[in-house]
Amino acid sequence: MLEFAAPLLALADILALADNLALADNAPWVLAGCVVSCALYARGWRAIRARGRASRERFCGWRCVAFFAAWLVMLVALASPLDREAERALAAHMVQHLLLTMIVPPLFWLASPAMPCLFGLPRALRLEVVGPIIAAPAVRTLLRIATNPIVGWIAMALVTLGWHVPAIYQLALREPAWHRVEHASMLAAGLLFWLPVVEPFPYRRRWPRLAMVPYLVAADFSNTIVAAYLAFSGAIAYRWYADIGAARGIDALQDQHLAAGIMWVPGSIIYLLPAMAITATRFLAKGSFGVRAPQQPRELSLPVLQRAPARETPRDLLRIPVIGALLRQPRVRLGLRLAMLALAALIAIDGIVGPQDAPMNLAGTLPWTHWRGFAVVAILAVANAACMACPLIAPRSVLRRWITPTRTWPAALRSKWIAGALIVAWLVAYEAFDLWSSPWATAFILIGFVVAATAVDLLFEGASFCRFVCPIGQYQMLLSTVAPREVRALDADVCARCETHDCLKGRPSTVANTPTLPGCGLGLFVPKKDGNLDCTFCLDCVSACPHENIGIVAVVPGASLARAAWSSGIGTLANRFDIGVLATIFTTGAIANAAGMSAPIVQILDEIATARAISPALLQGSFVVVAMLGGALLLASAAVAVQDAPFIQRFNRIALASIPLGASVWLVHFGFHFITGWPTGEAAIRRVLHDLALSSDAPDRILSCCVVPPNWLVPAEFLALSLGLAAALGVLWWSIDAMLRRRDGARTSSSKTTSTTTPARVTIAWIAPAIALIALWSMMAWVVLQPMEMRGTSGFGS
Amino acid sequence: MNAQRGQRIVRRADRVFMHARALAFMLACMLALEAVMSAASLADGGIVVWTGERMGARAAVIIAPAAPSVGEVEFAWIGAWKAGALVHAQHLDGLAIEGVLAPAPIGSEVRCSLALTKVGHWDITIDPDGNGDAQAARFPLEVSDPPARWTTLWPAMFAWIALVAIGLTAAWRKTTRRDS
Repeated sequence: MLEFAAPLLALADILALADNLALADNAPWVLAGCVVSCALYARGWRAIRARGRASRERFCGWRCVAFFAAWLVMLVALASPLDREAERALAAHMVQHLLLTMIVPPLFWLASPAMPCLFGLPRALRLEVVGPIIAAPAVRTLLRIATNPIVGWIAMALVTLGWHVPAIYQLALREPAWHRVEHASMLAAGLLFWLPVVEPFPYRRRWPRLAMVPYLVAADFSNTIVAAYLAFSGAIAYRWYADIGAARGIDALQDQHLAAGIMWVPGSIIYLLPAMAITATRFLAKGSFGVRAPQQPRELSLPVLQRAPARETPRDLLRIPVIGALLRQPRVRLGLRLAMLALAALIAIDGIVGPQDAPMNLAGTLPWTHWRGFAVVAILAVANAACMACPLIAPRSVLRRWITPTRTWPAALRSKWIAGALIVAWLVAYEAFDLWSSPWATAFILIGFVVAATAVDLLFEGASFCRFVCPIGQYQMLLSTVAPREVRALDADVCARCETHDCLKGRPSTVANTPTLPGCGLGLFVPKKDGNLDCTFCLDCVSACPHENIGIVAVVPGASLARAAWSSGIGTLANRFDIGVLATIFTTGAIANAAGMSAPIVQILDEIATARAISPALLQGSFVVVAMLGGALLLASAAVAVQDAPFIQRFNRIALASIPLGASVWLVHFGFHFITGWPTGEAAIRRVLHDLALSSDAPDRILSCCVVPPNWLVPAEFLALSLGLAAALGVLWWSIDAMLRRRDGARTSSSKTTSTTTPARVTIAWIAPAIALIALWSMMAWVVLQPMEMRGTSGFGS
Repeated sequence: MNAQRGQRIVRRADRVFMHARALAFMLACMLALEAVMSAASLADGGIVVWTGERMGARAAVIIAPAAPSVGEVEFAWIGAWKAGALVHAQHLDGLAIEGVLAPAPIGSEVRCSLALTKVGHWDITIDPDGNGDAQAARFPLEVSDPPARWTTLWPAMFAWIALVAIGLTAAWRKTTRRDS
């Protein structure tokens, strides 16, 4: 078991080391940009090369190398000791500027990054967001102006001359924000300047190629002016270096002369080499005299932005070697659930017989800190992996070999009301009774869930517990509506020809002495299903399909929420009031749950409880209910403001649109616990091993509730919230568009009038509910800025 | 048939080799990045607040941020120093904070961050040899109220405005094209 904890310890050490090294403020962000950008390029580059020989020739290997090299040089310039040295020596600063303006941009353009980076984007993002924006006349005009060589030349001259004016230069040294502006402007000017020189595909040539010679030589003049000023000036240009240079034993004037030399000699060479190369290519190439330059494309055209037919077979997660093959096996999936059940049993036993200090008990740490954080990340990054590995349904999967349920779930209870009520009860109990701080309570909740799930599913057919009762399952399924993958039919035509519908009904196994392959226990018919709602990713449908036509494929996260259309097993989502209420509970509950751990709320509740002699448990529980009701009222009032559809439909659409925001709040909340509370798992595991006499080491971090939040955590939380709110507002816009079009469709078919749904109308109808969602976001933003109070665990403030 | 199969196997092996090569290249790049990153240093900016001669050599003190406010303030000593070098900060009302200067990942600099918790006038003393007042450098420091926390977080906090603007533009364009 200690080996199991070793990676956690190693991770802790790495994080602590990173914190101690105190990386440059911008370093993690530069690195993140580098990783995302390189991954996009590599993905797109590979995809383009797969399109044929011409593409392979155009995007040959050295272009990829150039892209990586550009990023490497950028990291050396911005996130290496050079960045630090640049503040102490002018020569180092000059090298940094040289890299940003003269090395990174040409390398970047040599990689012809437009097509690969666009191709690397998810298809939906490329075609639905980037495509329409780039095609907009205003954007095209802007691009046309920005890519004019004159603009690039002026920009380069301005940054070269402007940033070397002593007052401006010293301002950048003094204020990090201005320093970043300086570097960004240098990089931007460099990119604009080098674009017509390198002419990356699909750049359209504006000037004759030979015009680039005076263009480059003239640019060298501004470079020479600054270099000459620094070289021949008898005085120190920048006072900052005079003070520091003296203390470091460096002659500041010599440093200035060295900087001038770097700027003058290598700088001029970088300008003049391409000028010479262009001249040589033009005049020395065989037969080039009098021959016109090759025809350039008249329009800036990016074929990747044009709508191409969808791929015949979508990329399926279940076709990934090894993992896909394993996941397709029912026994492997059952094994996964049984392993999780064994872990749950271990946690429950420790919860009952172990010490009742939550941070020292498996039941006080693993389910609350680690599992919740892991589950939310896994669901939002891939799909509903949490339900797939659910230990609660493991006993039923085994026992159903001998016990076949015959009853069907009562028609009156076939809704989400029970699950919704249980989620509210769960949130209230969590706050009122501090469930996370009681290993004993946690153990009995776990046992209760397993018993309830087994009893319900042995009495009633299908997966009635998951579909109608399980509050955890409903929470996870709502989260997975914004997941990037969905269980879907790979080829609609195969499903159209299928007459057996085994994915729904199940079928006998073709292997002797093996149990029947069940169909979807939640009543979802795969070809008619839209979105992840009610899908537990049990993958029974995958095993049951005789055509191997079901997979886990990429979808646009949240698109099914915007459509709110008819789906198998659910009906029309926009008309399901119970699901609308469930979505409201999901979002408002997330905010209430997070607010309950913020110090000001805890303090106010404690003060009220003391002053009015009210039970703190009652007060905390009431706070959750009141906060959720407040949020629900906000969404309902926004629904009143929108017209053109029945109230229930309007409310449901707004509530469904709030799910991405709710998901980001859960991510922020559980992610915070996961990151700051991960050592508790190690302490609890050490304690268990020590108690079992498997290790002589007693836990050395007793009651280690939390590590200090790293500096990047709060900005990352706000970024997650920003993404959540932006996604929610986007879903809302498309949902209102769908609602108005549906109404228009009904009107036009009856009265032969034309549709009145315009983007402007949609946007006007969007404003009121958008304000409601922004109000919910602002509440969560306030919570994130507050110090956190971890009641029930060891002391941790802010 | 066998020849075809052989060719297919060679093609597959080629593809695997190409992917392995690309992966190795990416890994090498990432390792290089890691090496570069691990040597990177603290936040930049600041202002020279003191220069003079101590321990027989020129010395300077840089503090960051340039306009200190309540919270962490970094003191960097550039010049000669000995182990045990200290920075001592005393507020007008008597509150005193002390820290040990430690080598910084640049040149021979030493630095220390102190959490200055009060607004107002502080007297700072940097003792580069840790032997008391003889070699100490003294200078005053005015510490202002801390800036509102959102002022440092606004790019992440309001990133949604840019995202919504982009999304709205795209949606508008898409629906306009669809309707026309």
